Amino acid sequence: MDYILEVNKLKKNFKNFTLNDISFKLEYGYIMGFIGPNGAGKSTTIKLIMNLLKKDEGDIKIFGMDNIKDEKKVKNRIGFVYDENYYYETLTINQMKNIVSSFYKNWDENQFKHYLKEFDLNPKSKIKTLSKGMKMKFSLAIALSHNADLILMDEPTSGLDPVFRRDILDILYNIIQNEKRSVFFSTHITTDLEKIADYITFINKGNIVFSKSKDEVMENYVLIKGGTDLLDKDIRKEFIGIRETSVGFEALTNNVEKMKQKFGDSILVEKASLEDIMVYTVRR
Amino acid sequence: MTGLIKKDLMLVFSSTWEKIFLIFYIPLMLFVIEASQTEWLYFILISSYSYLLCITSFTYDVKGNTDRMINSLPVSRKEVVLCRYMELIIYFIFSIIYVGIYLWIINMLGLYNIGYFNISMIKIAFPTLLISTAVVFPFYLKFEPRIAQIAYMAVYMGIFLVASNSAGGNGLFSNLIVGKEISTTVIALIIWIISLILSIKLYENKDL
Repeated sequence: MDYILEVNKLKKNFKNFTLNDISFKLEYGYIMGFIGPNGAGKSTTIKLIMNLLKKDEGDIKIFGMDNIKDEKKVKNRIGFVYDENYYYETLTINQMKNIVSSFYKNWDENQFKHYLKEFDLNPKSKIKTLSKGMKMKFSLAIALSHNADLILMDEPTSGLDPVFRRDILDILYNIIQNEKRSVFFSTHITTDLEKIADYITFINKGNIVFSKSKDEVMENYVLIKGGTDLLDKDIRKEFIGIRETSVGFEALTNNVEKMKQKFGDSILVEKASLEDIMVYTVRR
Repeated sequence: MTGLIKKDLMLVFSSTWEKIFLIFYIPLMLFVIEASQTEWLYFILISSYSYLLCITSFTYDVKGNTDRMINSLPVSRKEVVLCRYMELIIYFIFSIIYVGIYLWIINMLGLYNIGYFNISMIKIAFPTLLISTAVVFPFYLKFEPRIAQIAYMAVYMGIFLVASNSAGGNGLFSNLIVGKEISTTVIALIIWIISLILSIKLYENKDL
């Protein structure tokens, strides 16, 4: 099978942090959400994919090509949005666009104008005068205006109001209607992913916890609720994560059948949200 | 490559500080330096403009982390470094033309009597700039901006002081270089190429 993005046994060592054997694959025509708490390694992985950081080990293939050997070819087909503004603050939107557009072979000026209008951005505004949300909109307009096949986004919805967040999700959903395009985006706002992601890759402390289809994740993980009298030392260990209060407990498991056999009707089983999965796994 | 050069030129000439520098640096130098040999004033002007413009575009990317954005575009790191080095020639030609026109106007108005084009000073300024940038550029690629800024200022002060002394009549620097322009330029070019290769290696292995 052809993949638009393949990351295989990726490693990167820092003084206080190690990204360990990161592997996942994204098919053409899908959206993959990359979740994890702050400091889990999401931005580091994205920087490695973009060759902004030098990997220690592993392979990264984009469109079937090596991300370093074929760097220019690959980057010509990637639209990127980062969590911070890396554009020149002293320039206007139009000046910045003139710079960026000259690098891309397939720059679409009409598309860019369309997004400026849709996002209500004035091309004469200096970038330093834009709010965080407006800067994100500008980054998005750039990323979507050169017919990119892979949209790579690092926390694109953080700091944005719910209305614009929903707009972004609609735009991303429309992008993948073209089956040759995919979206990979990291976020800790997991509700966004529940709406549009096809695949979820979860990273914690530099390790991949899972990389699966969203449906598989939502089916496998459940929340168990019950009284604290049901718990003992061994049972506690069988949960992925547990929260206990004076009235009872709530725990995450990916083995609901075993729990049902063990506790019968004395527990309540509920669907776990992505946020539940992330929070309980991190607190483990 | 043209995209990178276009970017740097746009950045340099859109900045208010650069505009102030371009307009007021010449009158300031003419006012501050009492020159018995005005050709060295011409040397200071073309060298300062070339050097400072060259470094300005560099510092934009180093200080603002905009090199992450640049390196996410379809461009190789080798091209980014090569462009930095090649821009010296563009800024040098610009400085000769700009300073020439500026000084010609000053002469025409009768405000100061100074030559607006001096080929022998251009022959000295070129190797000086090659060596200066060859020393400073790797600092920007290897170290934190703060350390690179110190190197940049040290080199600039070096150029400025020796040339100011020469302008004041001290022949130390001129004895060292005048009459040996060709061999100096060849040595400077060799140093510049070594620095270019070193910078490419440094930048290709740098975490941004």
